[in-house]
Amino acid sequence: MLKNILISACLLVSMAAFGQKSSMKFGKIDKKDLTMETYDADTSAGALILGDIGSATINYKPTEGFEVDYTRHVRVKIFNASGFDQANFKLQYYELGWTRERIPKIKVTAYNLDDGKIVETKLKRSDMYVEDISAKEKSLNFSVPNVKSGTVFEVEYTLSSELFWQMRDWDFQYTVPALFSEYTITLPEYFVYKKLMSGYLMPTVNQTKPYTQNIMLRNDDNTTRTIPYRGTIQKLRFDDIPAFKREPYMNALSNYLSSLEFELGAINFPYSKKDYSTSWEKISKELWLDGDFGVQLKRNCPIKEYADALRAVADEKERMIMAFELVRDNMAFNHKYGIYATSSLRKAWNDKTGKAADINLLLTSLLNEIGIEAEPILLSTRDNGILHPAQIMLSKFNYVISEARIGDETFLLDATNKRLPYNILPERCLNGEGRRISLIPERNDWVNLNQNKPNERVFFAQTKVAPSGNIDVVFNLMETAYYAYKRSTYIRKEVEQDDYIAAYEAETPGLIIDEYTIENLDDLPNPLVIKYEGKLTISDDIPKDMLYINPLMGNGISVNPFTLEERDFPVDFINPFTLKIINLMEMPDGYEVTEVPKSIVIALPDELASFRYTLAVNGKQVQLDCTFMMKTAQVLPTHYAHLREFYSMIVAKNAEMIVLKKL
Amino acid sequence: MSKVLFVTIFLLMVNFLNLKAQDFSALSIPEALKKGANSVVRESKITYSIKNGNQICVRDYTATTLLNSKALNLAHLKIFYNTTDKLKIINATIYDAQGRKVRSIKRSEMKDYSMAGDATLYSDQRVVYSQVVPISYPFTVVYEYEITYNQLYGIKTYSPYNDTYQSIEKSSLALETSSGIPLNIKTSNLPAAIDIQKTADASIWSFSNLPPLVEESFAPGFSEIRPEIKIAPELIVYKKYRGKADSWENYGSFLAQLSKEDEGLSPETVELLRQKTAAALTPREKVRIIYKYLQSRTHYISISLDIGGIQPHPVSQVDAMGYGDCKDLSAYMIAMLKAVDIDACYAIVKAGKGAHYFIPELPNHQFNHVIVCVPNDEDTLWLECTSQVMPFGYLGNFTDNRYALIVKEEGSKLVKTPEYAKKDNYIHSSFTLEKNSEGISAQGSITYGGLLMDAMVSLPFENRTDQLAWIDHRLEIADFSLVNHAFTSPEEPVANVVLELELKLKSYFNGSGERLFVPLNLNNKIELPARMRSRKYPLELRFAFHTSDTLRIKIPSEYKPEQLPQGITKDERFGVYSMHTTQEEDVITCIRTFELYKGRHEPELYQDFYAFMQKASLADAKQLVLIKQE
Repeated sequence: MLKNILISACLLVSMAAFGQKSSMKFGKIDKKDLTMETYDADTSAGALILGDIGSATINYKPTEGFEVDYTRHVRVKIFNASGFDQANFKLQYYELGWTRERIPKIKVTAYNLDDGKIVETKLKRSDMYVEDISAKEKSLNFSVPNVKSGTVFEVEYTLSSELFWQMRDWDFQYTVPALFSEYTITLPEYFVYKKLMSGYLMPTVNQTKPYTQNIMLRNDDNTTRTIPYRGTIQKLRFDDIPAFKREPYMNALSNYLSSLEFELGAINFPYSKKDYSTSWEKISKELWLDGDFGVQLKRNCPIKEYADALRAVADEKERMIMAFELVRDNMAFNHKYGIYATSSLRKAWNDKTGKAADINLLLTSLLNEIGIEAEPILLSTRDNGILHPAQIMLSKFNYVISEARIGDETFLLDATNKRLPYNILPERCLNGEGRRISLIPERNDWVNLNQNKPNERVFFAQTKVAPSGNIDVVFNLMETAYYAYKRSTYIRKEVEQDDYIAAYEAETPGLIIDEYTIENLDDLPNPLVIKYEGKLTISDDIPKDMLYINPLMGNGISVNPFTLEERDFPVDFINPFTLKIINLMEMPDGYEVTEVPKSIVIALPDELASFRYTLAVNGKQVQLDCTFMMKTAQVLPTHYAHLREFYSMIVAKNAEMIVLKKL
Repeated sequence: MSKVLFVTIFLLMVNFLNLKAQDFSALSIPEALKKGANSVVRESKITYSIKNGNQICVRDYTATTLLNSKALNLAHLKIFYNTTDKLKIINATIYDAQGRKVRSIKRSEMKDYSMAGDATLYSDQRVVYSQVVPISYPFTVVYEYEITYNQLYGIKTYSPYNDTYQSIEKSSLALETSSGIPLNIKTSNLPAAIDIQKTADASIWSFSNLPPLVEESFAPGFSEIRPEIKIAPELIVYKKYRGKADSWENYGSFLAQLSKEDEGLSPETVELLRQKTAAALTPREKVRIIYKYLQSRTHYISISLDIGGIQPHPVSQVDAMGYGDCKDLSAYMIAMLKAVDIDACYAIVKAGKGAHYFIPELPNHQFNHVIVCVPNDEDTLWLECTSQVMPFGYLGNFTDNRYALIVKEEGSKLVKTPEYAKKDNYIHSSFTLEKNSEGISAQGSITYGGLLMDAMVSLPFENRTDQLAWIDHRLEIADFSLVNHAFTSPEEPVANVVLELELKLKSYFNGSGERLFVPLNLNNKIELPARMRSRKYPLELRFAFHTSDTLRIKIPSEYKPEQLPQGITKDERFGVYSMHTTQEEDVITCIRTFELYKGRHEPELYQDFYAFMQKASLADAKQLVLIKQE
């Protein structure tokens, strides 16, 4: 349409006039960069990005119409072999039938010093390789030639794309440090994108300016007319960027990396407007009209054959659980995410297979069919990154669950995992807030996904110490929620339960299990219970004059997971948890208890966590009661030092012994 | 003759009829085959047909019943091929537990992906893939396809087993050879009850009712346990090249001819290398200089297209680009050594940790890697050319102690790469602990050698963040703050990796009463193997090593030791563990040594091995007890 009548465009405003001039010119290498031996701000870096300049510009072209032109010019300094990876490039692009991306121009040059002279090595296009990753994805692969310690290299390319709906992201942070990274986005008024900036760094430049431009159109009578349009140019720049580093107990990388993402909001050509999303109300309304979402829920429920039987169940909660289990047990999850149904819910039910959206929309549909109010909730899974409620970007969601409401009580349901009961969401869903999509406007709202379910491990032991120091044990391990889910899944992975018990034994030196039972292995939400009897053989059979017994018997926290001095990002435990150890010990006759660990209670500020260690002696009976409670799922970096110290105190306490002396 | 022919035809007919009547119901699987199995090969018919002088056609018909989700990876359609091969997919069908057809996978549902990994710029290798989402178990997948390889250069090893915990109802390999090309056939671990039919131009091996193979730690590799049939044509036809694989010598000559046309390095490069090594006094020193030069200016990149899978790129090209794969970089290294008048050989090996299994009687493509051998009467050097960080002359567990073929135009031969013995493989540590008013300090170093430094060789070259991450994850010390650290890798007299540490310990000298408890094993606790209730395969201890850890503890002034723990455990079959604690004035010294021997033992001895390790690990848990002086 528009493509046919637009014939040429001319630029009215010089774009180069905008902002500061880029400091890098291809081929103009500073000799100082070649002689540089280390980067002062990070002397251990294997490479340094000297500069990375990129742009995305939507241009009008007489033959192609509008296209996105990306450019990138990156200059890299290599210090040593650990930086060689930076020289490998795989530029991915799409070919979707007629809609395709191209890399029309690419330049690659390496610079080395030889006897004080700069020697250039260029890479020819014929030494690059096109890899057909799949039918739609291709990749231009190359490695910069002649890279060694000291090399500086440059790569510059342009990539033209017609895929307006998936504007490429730009990362301002890398695995190696960077002097600067700069990105310029030039958008005609016809294209509206939402931009999402993530990360913990602050830009040094963030400017936006308007510009105008003309398109020349040829009329039917061969006269021409000019259509002016406006647009905006935005420039973002970061300077002195540290290398990105991972920390333990961290959520998805994308939550922390400084980057810019886009979502197409609208394409508003003069004669055809398509609005992609503007407000939550609008998104909700459109989702209800969408053939792959709301329309599926308005159709008759495909699980009719069971609906009557379910309706006959009087208790609503019981009815909900039965419906949940029916869907969970019948549907196979294909491990695909996304918020839309694959085709129809009926087909998903007939195939007994689907992605999370199919399964949980099906559940929503069935619940409504049997008289239980239910609505879908959109969310972003943990590895997809946390949502910023202020950003209205539908593309950030990648998952659907269902919310049922019975009286005042609500239940978040996900029927994709056969091992999880109705009251436990898979861990991937525990990621801040989800968005309820409702037909009732005021119910379109955020829903807290972290329900802080009791997640407990209770270890109850009755033990009898022999004069040799060996211990007869009767243990009872009980776990709920995620603890139970993880252990039972692990046990089920072993071929025989004996193999699991053997692995369990190996975790505690000296433990030999004679008899054991495992209860509720496939019956969550009931707690998983492992009972076993055996011996802790920690010595030979000769009676000793002194005995040293650790009352935790190998079950405490013996290692501090936080050894790093500082932390930049929150510690993410995913779930609050409680660990409890009770040990009723009987000491041997003829010995006296000369020393026991002192009882203590310690806590983190703001009641985030607590640890209690109580030991009571009553003749030859000694009783330990030790409870560790983490009451929050996340600990902020401001509390990191406290958390680390807290763990230290626990590890130290857990190493203490009861001392027995022969009378 | 006619009788033999008749038998063949009859057999084929029977098989054909069988195929038609195949019952895929999981209910008909004998109980004995289901026990301990996650999957069952119901029927597999594999045919290798060498029709003419330059093609091998492989037909694969396999019906597998998946009994539970642990076998799910076997359910998906996965066919690996090369763009120069001809692939024909005949059938891909899924059946339910009763043997009723659920559906066929359509060609449009199959995805075709490139197999190139991160360090690969280009590869002809591809995979056709289709994911199967099971609705319930058991179910059966039937896949049938045919690949024609337009070359004669080895054939995939056949085994009735595709996985552990898999039992075999029926599986057969038919080898059809009408071309008269001589074949080298090696079989291993074949069960006694196997049925072998032989005719003039066909052989059929038929297996039935085989129980599942299990996985055990400290066991021989899967290839050494399962039945295998390896077939190698004694003729090689590879693109425009021809050769023979009837002996290692001829096979080596074939590979050597691929590089015959290489014109070598430019005179400028030769001159440069001569200058670089002019001052070197010994040939070894020359090799070292050239090796360091290689490491400083090349990196590993794989480009495998057309004949690139076995032929190195011209050395002048590698010299210009500064990158290549193992073939390219090894050929380049050899050319550079030649420039300084040192003879070195192209040596091909099967690389990989623990990949020692090799059949020396089967001249064939049993390799996946190239290294360089610099022969010398007493001191033959081996060089890994794809690493920027490996110490000079170090191979590590990637290529240690295994067969390598030295490739020459004439006189190629099999040799063994060096084995790392008990004296070569070690961890030595020495630390001093002191409790003072500022806390507890620990200072000392850990030295890693031989195979025990394998995972460490890159650390001295990594950036601080990665080094800290390693220290954070790998040190066993319960609770510490790092004050200072340094990784170094001295190469003389032998290559080592040394980690020097200065730490503040936090949970040491624990106690809230009269006594303090001090763990005596800082960072080298024995990892206890699982106590197995039954053992099926031999106990294999792949390599020997020794460790020695010294801990010096300064006793806080107001304390004295209540006990000095001692321990010794010895088993001449497995090794020696000892821990000695002595006191001299206010310093207590604990010396712990542990040696484990290499060996292969009867399955029954696993229990003894476990008992040995258990005793040693209990000694590791002993603590020094300090008591307040009155």
